[in-house]
Amino acid sequence: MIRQLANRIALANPTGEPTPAGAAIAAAARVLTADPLDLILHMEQVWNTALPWGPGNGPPAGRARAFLAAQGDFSGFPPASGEVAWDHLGYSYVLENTRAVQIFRRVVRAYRSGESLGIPSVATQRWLDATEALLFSAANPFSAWLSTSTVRRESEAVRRNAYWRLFGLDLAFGTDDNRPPAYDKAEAANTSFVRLFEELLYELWRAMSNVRNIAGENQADDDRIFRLTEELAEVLRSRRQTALLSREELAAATVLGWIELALSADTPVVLDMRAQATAASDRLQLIGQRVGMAAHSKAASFFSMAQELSTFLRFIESGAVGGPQFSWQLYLQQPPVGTTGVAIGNDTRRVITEWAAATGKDLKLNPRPIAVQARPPAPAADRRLVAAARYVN
Amino acid sequence: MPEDESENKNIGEMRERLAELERENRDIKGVISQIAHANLLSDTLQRGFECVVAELQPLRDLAPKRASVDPRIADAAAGMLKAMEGVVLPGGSLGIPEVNVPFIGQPREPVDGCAGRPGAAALPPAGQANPDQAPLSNQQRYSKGNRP
Repeated sequence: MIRQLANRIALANPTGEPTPAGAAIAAAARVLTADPLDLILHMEQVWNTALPWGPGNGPPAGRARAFLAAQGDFSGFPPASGEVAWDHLGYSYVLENTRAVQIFRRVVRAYRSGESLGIPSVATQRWLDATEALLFSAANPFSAWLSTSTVRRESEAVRRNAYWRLFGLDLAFGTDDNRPPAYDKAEAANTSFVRLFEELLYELWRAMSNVRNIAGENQADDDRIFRLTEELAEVLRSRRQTALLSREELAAATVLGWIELALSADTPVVLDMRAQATAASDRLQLIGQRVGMAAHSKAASFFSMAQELSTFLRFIESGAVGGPQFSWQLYLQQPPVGTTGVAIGNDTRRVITEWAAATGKDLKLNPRPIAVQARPPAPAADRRLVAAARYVN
Repeated sequence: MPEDESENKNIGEMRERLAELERENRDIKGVISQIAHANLLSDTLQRGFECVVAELQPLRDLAPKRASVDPRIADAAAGMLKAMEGVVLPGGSLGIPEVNVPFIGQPREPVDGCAGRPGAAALPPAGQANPDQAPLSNQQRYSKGNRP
């Protein structure tokens, strides 16, 4: 939601910046120093515009909420009606795995409770206000996300619950003080997600490596790609019936989008923390060192694939691959000559590379190794031969 | 003389037999070459890879069939991805301007007619510094009794 908002502002270029890069910087600065209530109002606007229950069931916001949302500073940059202008929950999952939320919790606590990190600039104080409101449920004129309440107090626990339900995955770490996380673990969870997902990535890699094959057998198995995609879409959609988890997805995308934007350049908080670097993961590592909490060792991979994973999962879930003859959309970089469609091969390639790096699994090899049976020990004479053969070799 | 004729006849028979064996050898080589696709190697060396591609063209039938996506589905997917596009920052600093923050009770630096005063322009929106104030360091200036 956050990076999409900044993009819409940059495209509108209200400050008349001469270059697209300048417009992007101005938009990011405007969002990062915004009043938290403006951000919350815009989130309500995005939620209402998306019509999560479809046009037939009406928008989720009542008259008062819609009126309030229209008063916000960003009300002039709404997405189009019916557009889901936020990232897939997969984006939030991989970014949260960097441990950025817990690191920023310590940053906020340190700035709010003393001066151990130095004196924050005005822009950083604005950022702290918004971070407390967005990430840590600071009180606002009206409840920010409707995804936390007295029933489910911790926003992190709400997100963990959503990750578990949609992906059957937990985060790679426990609580801030390394205790096991406590959250409502739903019985209905997509525990088959990882198996299907990794097998699909393997098949897509085989298809990619055959794209330029002009002679001989083409090993791209479009039918298998379609079947895996179809099953993955069914698995994801089974948790999404009647727009379930959409509100939680928007809340998570807003929180993690806020963190990603804060780390995507040398923003005020990065400067005040003296964590200038050229990559978001390096900035997070430096900030983590300042507050005594190490970021995930694979944070660079998580940052690198977050947006592409969001695109990839959303595309699969949309059902755009409706048959084996349309599987090419997932692994080609542009539609084949004479055909039309949407090709997301570049995103897929990034996901394969970074998912393999983050998990340590080589998805470019066969994910199903050959089963090997234990052989009985060889007779003594044979063992000598084997030893001699080893020596010769 | 009859001996010479007999020798010549033998030599002729042997030549015929040799020629026959050479023909057989050539045929066998040809068959082996076809089986091992070695003829492709010589073709490749003589005429380039087009020949190989043409020879293996029938295998292209095993390649996946690709079709156009229904325009309505393609448009919906393209719209969905466009709505998800995020801002791309070039890196570096955002360059957010800041001016000196006065302590409580200190005289404010701007003079009459500056932004925020009656009859003047409004204060700058959140996140933007007042252009009437010169950009200064983020740190407050200590003076008189305020110095620790």
